[in-house]
Amino acid sequence: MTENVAGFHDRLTKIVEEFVSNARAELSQRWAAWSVDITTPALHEVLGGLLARQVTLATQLARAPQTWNGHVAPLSLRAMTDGYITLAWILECPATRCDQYVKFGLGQKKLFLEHWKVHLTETGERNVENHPVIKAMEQWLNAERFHFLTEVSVGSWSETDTRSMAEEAGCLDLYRFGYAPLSAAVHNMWHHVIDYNLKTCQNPLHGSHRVPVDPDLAIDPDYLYRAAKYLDKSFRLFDRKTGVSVEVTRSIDALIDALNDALNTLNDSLPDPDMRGAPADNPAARAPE
Amino acid sequence: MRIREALNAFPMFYPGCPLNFLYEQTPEINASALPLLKQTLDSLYDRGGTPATFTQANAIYIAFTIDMLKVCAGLALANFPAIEALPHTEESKTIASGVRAAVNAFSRQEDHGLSRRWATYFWKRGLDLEACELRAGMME
Repeated sequence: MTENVAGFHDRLTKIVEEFVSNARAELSQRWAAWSVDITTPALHEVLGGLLARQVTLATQLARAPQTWNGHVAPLSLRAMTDGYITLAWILECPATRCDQYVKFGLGQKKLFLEHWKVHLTETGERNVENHPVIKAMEQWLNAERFHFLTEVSVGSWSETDTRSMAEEAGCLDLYRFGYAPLSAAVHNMWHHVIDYNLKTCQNPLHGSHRVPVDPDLAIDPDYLYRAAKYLDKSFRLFDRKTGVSVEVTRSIDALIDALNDALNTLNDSLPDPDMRGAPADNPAARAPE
Repeated sequence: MRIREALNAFPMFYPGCPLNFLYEQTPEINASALPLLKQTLDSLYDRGGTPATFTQANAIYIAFTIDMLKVCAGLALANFPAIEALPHTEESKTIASGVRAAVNAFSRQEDHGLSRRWATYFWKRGLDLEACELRAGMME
């Protein structure tokens, strides 16, 4: 049986590499098929960049099976749901929202630069303006937009909250069943901590108090499936809104087929039916998002 | 004598227990006393379970006998002795529900100074007596 499990791991490595390759092909083919208008570079850069970011989050998670657990995977998956909502909200009104997105990001970079200047001044630096960190950051900012023209905004880049963005963009289910629950891990909230970092003491003399723990968790391929699903949702959203159509293998389809094949092979080799895993795509076992 | 035997884990392991006046001398510690106390305590964590319900019924019984509690005729608690049949009759189960509800009412009436001090002492002392027991395995 150990040989079969080792064989499964080898197969999983191949499945992951195939997924990474397919996901990148999906991105590059869409970019190639999209009629880029060079007079509005920001629009294409923002949408293309956000889509690429989704690919990166999914492929980096895929290549790190040790992170396929409730401790770490939600950090990437929450970023993916946030990325989807951002993409969907921008696509509702790309011309103005791309600009809004870019300017806020540059403002944040400028704010970081100003914090550096204050810090260097407070720590006795005599020539702050010529400090290499300051010069590098100003150069970076000026390459995008003269830093003295860049405004620093506080608050949200979209001037609204994520829930409202999701509602407006028609993806409230993703917010409710993906973004919000995954936020528990990202923000170290009580309902995450109680499940993952506290264990109830079984000594009856101790009144069922909880003890802090750092448990190792089993690798759960469902987190890979979810990353693939959010990526696929992003691709389909992009296609729908831009009208781009590509003939390319859907990375999620290939992933589900490959995972099911691998799981079936592994299950067939296990003597005890109770040890067998469930199929990779069991919609009944999952929340809407 | 039987009460002393039943409670002897307290003078052995809980020198601050308010019932220790029952003992002229602190009994010698024996190996089975603490495991027995743990076993009893463990059976009481399920508040709706039979052992825990009988424990709560004891409190209600005392409340009846000292006239602290009176109930209207026709209520489940009015036939309190029928709880003896728990969990084998429907009537005893109904009375058990009444017992658990009544205990809630009593425990919220006031901040019972002595009871609270004993409860706080009891749980703190438990931490001194034994280490935590964490179930093997990754997560519950």
